[in-house]
Amino acid sequence: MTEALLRDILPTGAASEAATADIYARIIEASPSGLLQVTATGTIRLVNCRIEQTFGYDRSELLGRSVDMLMPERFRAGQGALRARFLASSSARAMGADRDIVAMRKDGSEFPVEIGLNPVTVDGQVSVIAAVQDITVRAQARRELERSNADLAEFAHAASHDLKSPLRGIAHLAEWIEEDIAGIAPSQALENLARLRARAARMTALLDGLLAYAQVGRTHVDIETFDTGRMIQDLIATLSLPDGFIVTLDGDMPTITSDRIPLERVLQNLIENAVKHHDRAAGRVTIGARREGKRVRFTVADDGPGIQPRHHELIFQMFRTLARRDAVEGNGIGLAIVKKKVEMHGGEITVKSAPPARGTTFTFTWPAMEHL
Amino acid sequence: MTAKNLTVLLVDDDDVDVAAVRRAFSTLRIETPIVVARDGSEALAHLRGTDRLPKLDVPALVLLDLNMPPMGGLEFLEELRGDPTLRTTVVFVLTTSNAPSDRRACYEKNVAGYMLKQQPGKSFLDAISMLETYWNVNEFMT
Repeated sequence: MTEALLRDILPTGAASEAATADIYARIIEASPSGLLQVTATGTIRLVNCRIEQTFGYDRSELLGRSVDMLMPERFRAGQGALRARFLASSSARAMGADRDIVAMRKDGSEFPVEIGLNPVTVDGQVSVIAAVQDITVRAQARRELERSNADLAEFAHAASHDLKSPLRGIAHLAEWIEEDIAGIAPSQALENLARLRARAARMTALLDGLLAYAQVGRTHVDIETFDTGRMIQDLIATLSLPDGFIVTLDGDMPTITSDRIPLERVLQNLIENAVKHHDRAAGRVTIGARREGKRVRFTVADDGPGIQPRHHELIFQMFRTLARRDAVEGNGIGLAIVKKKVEMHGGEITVKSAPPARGTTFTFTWPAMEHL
Repeated sequence: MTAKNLTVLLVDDDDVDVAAVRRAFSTLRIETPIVVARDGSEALAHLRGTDRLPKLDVPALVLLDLNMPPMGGLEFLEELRGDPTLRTTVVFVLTTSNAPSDRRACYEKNVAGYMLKQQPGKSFLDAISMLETYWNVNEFMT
């Protein structure tokens, strides 16, 4: 594409060949990426202005020398073999896609780089064109983000463990006092002790939820092929839903290859949520799944009371529950975990409901490999 | 019930948790003596008879918490399994930590069981009575 573009703007005719070469040279020189041309044996043939700036060398110090001088000594071994293999494969690719590449400036300081490679044949000789990008700022931001994520997870983990210990102590003590004074205490004192224990139990449930939320995505991924219909039927069998509630599958359920366990947890959470918040003794949950290329769109629909649109964002937040605390057992974290799991797998979740019309439908996408 | 000459060495720095174990023993009428150590190094001193502590009669069954300063449960296990005279000691872990990494680390140090400290109630009594069953049906190294 670039070549075609250049052909249009370049002077034509034999006499203009020098002018053409000049424009190419100026484009290379002006490139915002550092550009290097390196021979099959690792000798630097060409550099542009950005390479000089990035590495702190004058081009006279680079041309004709080995490209090894631009990387720390500990990374130099094996570079020749890597270069040979790359030239043999002769296709464009990013260098070290699976790891960080470190480059070294003239003053010996090191910095992270991203390198794109492309083989090019000049005068019958194969060489490599490398585009070098200094990614110090990006790498720093990524480290910063990783650190703050780790901090957060560690905080939630420590907080819930460290907070749970004294809480368990409180629950024990309340129970013992209750046992020890059962025959002699006024009924109001016993009632208050029971309340104390109920509050401790609720706090424990909240902390368990916090811990569960922090741990989402920290277990390893296990890809397997399975029939989603079968998986959901097995899941329902283990849920012990109250009598009167039925779960049905809507149409054909696809067989997919994906990370099964978290998908199962997401569906379980949505089914239990639908039943827990149902306002009648009997109800129906309908689950559908439709393949859309590299993902599957699941729907979990109930015939419960519905959720007011103004609450649709709220329900995915941590510790939010729309039910009165004593009416429905729950720590308000289920949907927050569902959302986090879905988004960590690159999907999205939405809710559709418009009371007074009955029912709520949750729709989420989940990655699935395409079958050959 | 004291079918065997056994001592439970309870390693825990939370006195309510210690009281919970004592209370469960008394509720279940278990008369096995309990010796309490506040951390790993105190537990080792009991087992070795150092620090002017009388050496515990073997066999001792160790009931071990994990988070205790200064010497935590994992460090205690490390030391215990490295000591030729103590390496066969039967250890049950009783902890708040549900972290898979803690569980793995403990089983790698050959613990006989890993129990989570629960809210009070039946499940805690079940755990303690399981322990009693364990030492009643097993033969120990003496």
